[in-house]
Amino acid sequence: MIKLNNICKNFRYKNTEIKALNNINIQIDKNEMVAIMGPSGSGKSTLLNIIGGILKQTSGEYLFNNKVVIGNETYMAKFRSDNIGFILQHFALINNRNILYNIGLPLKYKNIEKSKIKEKVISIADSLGILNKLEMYPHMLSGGECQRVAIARAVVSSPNIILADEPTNSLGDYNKCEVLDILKRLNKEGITIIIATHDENVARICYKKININDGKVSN
Amino acid sequence: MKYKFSKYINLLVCFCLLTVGMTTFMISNKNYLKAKHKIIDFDNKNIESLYLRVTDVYGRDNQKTLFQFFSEEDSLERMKKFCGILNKEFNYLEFDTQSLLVLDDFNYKDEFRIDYGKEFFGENDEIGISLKSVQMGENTYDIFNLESQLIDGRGFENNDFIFENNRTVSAILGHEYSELINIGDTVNFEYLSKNITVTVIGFFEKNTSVTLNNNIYFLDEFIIIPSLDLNYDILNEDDERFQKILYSLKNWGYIKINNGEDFCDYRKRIDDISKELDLKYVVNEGFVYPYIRNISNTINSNKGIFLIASIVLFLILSAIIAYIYIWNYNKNKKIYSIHLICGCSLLRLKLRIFFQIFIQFMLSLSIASLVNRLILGYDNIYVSERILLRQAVRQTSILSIIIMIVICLILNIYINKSNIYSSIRKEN
Repeated sequence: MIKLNNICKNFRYKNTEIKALNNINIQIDKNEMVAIMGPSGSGKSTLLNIIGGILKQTSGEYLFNNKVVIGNETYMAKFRSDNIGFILQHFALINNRNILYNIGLPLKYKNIEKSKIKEKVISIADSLGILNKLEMYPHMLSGGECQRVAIARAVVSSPNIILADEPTNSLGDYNKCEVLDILKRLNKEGITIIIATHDENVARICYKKININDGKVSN
Repeated sequence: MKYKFSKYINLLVCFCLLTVGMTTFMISNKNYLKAKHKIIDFDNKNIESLYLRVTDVYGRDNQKTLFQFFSEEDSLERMKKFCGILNKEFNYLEFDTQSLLVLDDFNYKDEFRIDYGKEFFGENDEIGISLKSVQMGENTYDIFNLESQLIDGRGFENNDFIFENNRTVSAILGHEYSELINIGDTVNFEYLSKNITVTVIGFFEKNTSVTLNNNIYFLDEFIIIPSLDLNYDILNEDDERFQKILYSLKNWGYIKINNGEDFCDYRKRIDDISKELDLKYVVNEGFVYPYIRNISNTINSNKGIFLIASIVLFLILSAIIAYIYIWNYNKNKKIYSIHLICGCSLLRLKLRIFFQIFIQFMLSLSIASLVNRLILGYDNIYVSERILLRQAVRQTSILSIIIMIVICLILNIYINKSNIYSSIRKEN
């Protein structure tokens, strides 16, 4: 499903070139649940962003379903919209919009009718136990509820892959287990899950682990 | 709510600054242009004379109608006074082409008739037959040196211009009439609903003409009568109506202006006299406008300094606005990045931001134009005011669009350089 060949990513900072990723070669198959592990600053989020089509690699080749992922920003936006769902550490919810709007946002960019968006959001929210929160605002919810909203937003557009960047970092133990259970359930339903984490407990639920250190894959 | 309000406060501040900048620039630009357009200049334009048309504005733009004005006490006296001042203080030409309705059997050719069409006169002329006629004041007769173009009879004398009731009116006829009627013959006509008797006193030579601005009046088919100065008291209601209409026409004359004269001064003088007599007369400078010269040193005048100051102010405000937009972008960067991970493209996001800026500029421009039109004494009556305002609006629009494009370009560069996604990882 995903194949990265010799992926490098450099950033420029004050005339200095920083190598965030250095010759990454990995393959992730359909329906896998993969943990990308490494300490802070090792490059795991950068890798996740490249897989998610947010960042472009400096060099190397990114294949998705055997097709090279390359194009302008509009193409990449469509790629994200069609294939990727994001879950982030601090939930990344829009605070001045209610939960209904937050969950339905990816569908808005797929030009789906408002009534159908609402229908789909209700169905997802129901399956994640946040149906009664739809009219509320993010600041009214607990951390666990916010992360469930973020998960609902990630899955609402039926993506092939969910990219979770430290999804449990802001959560307590109970909520952490709950979120991991949901991710496992989604994986069983056929969604490929890639989790960037430095937490061994999170990595333990994944079938495959990829360790990254200083921008390189280490076994 | 808190977030929404702060978002709108930024936009409101930008909007207010923009509106202030544009309004100030538009006002100073208009005043500058007004100061620039002042002096009559028809050098090298192949014309000998220019005439400012005096007109009334009754019935226009919420003004009272002429009928309402006529019903006012002493309206006739004021109109007579205005006519007297025009003739005394200006090189004033009374010239009108009111037709004469034939009351007698009278030899005329079809081409002498005013062709208002069958609807006006009826299928068989049962309503009447009107002939082409010109009424001209003594000054008009002299300025065009019409005396020299007589081929028979005598010209108008001072006494011919004074009209007393039941007195015959002298008429000089165009060349085409010379074979049909004789000097000394009298004909009865209805003129402005009053019956008058006209006595033929002479004939003009062929192709005698009067040129007023771009209109050439060939007089060959015309009956030329004096623009009458009434010298009798009102007889009855009908006569009062006749007098009022007559003076309203006499006051629609022309002021001859000379090369190098201050056009604005004429306008102001007519405005002042009109206001003093509580009348609604203005000069229509439509034809004259192209002959108004720019004064090159206007830039050094007060108006020029104000214009430069307003440009500087507009630029400073624009810089502040650009800063607010960048600040606003940084503030909303996280929200933008959320939209991006949800499938929105960066291009779409930028277009949304630019569209917001565009709407703000357009709204501010509209308000600045409205303020200039409605609040700051825009005088719709004058052609020059309309033209100057249009120019000021156009120039403000051009400057605003340039500033808007520059702001959008700066913002575009800033967005491209900023790592929009980095903000998504930050905590709320």
